[in-house]
Amino acid sequence: MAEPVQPPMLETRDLSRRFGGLTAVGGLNFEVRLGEILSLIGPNGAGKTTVFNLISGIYPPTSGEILFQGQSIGGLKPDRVRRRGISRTFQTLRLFDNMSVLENVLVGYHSRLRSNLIGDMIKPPWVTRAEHEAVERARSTLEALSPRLLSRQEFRAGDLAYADRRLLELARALVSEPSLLMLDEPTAGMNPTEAAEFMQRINRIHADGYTILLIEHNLGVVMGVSHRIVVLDYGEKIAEGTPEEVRQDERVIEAYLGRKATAT
Amino acid sequence: MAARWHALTDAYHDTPLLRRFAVLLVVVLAFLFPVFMGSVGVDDATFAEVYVLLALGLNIVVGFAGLLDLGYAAFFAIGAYTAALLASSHFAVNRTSFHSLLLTVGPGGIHVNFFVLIPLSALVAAFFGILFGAPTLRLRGDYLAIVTLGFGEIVPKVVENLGDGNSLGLPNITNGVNSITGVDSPPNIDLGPIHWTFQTNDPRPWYYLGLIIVIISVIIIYRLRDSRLGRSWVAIREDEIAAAHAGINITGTRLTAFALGAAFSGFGGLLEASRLANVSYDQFLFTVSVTILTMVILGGIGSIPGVIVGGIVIAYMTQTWLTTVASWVHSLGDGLHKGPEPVSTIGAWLQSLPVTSAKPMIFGIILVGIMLLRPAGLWPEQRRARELHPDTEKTLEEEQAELYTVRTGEI
Repeated sequence: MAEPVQPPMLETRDLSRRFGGLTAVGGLNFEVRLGEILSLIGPNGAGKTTVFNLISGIYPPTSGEILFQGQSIGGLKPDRVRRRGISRTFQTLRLFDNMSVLENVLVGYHSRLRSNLIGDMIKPPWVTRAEHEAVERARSTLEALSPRLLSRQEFRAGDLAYADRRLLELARALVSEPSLLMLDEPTAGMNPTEAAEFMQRINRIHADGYTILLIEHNLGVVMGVSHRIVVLDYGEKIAEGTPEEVRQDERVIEAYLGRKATAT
Repeated sequence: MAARWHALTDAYHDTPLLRRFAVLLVVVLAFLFPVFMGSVGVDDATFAEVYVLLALGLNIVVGFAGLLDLGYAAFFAIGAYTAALLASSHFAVNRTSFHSLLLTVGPGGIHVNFFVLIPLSALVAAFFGILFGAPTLRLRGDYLAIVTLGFGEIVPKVVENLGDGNSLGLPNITNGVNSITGVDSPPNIDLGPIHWTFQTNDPRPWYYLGLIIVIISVIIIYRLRDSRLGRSWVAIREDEIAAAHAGINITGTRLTAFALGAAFSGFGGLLEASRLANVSYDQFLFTVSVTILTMVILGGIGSIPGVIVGGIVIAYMTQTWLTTVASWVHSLGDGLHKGPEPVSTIGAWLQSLPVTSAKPMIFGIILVGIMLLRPAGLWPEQRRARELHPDTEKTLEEEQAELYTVRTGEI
């Protein structure tokens, strides 16, 4: 379980984002602690994905701050955010469909590969060696997630089955060993068996020492896997705590669980 | 026929031994080419080499990075003018005089050694690539195409108007409409059995020089394609947002593609300038940009062998084959004219056809024909071939295997 003495890995302070007149996220404060699985839940349109997009740099915050390992990352471009050690997956899969499975993972390792133009043209031994290491890295990441994916490393990514594509996106995010892994509804579109299997994998990844920030719609999944949960509604935090606490919170039941309380 | 060709290119890609042998054979044949050909044929081949270089460069921008550049001839012009200004009698320096192996300055003009100009012309072109690219590469797709179209128009115009007595009151930089003549040839090369004297009446040394530059460029471009940078280009082309989240600096990576593409056209410009010994702004108009783009698309966008084939085919078509076709029509007319009454009328009609002025039309018909028969290009890149023709037997098998595992739920 999470240890409260640990400094936060990620912290937002009064984070807000407005689109025209619409406040997608308003004055949000929450923190992700080192080594925990924190879930962000809320009804559709609650602003969960907007929070992800703000952290990963798709757009800058309107106001407020995002601190990662004590440093402000609000407004940084996505590639800079990734280089600081945050990687993410997308709610709607974003793979490089026409690249091979292995190439997809190699692109994920981009931020860890040092090379320059002259090195790429002349290919001195150290560049070749680094490239070989990257390939080995990518392979072992694939193997750890799913041996079947490794056996399909030469496949075109777009030709994979849906669950495999989800796994591939996860591999691409994991290969650079990020300090914080953000997963945006990773089980969306999966059947219950696939979703359960996927969450087992998430648990294994967490056991390897990863800190994970998760958006999830499937409440059964969230309750089982999270250490803490932050509940959003209309861009604001309405509750925070352990799954047990959140489950019993009246505002949460009203805003979100109310409709489904009997189901869970 | 299309299927057989597919099988051939697939075999080429799948068997490394065959591939090595084929590449070796092509290189050997390319080196032996002048032995079998007359000097006119070799001259045409050298022209093709210049265009292959240009097509290879544009392929980095359009094929690898997916940026539509409609003004690529601008960089060709910059490469050619770099060579022309730094290796001719155009800039006479009267105050001092300096002579060395690599650089001569004096009343006879500035003369930089050709082998210094090889990297220099590429660097200058790359510099302008960055200069033009930096403010504009945030644009995408059609918008970028229009901006590059603008560059393609501006550069020749600037060159045209920076001559003697220009309205800006600047000194004569480009010699304006009068073009720059007397561009230096490369120094003679005497290495063991090789004796190359670069003269206008012998195209062979030019051909070999061009061939060596093309081969080195192809090796470099292959390495770039298979590097971290090459992967980044494809990733950006596939999904910009996902690429950025993988840690790729989008603008920087695009800019590199633009600069590298420009650099290769610098080689092309240098070769063309010194071969013709003459550089004029009207060698670099919009038609040239379009011709190079046609080579890339017709050959197979993104495919290095495809672009080489496309470059050779189009260069030959515009340079010689169309003229040959035109003369065929006229000689056919001559032959038929000797025949009996109805045939001789047709013969006379064929003789009177303005075939020479119809060359662009014939060119267009051939292009349309090729693109209809081979929409992905003469030698498509595998990635794109898969995209356009997903239902080859191989993918079908794979999809069925997929279906099976989904059904059985095996992980």
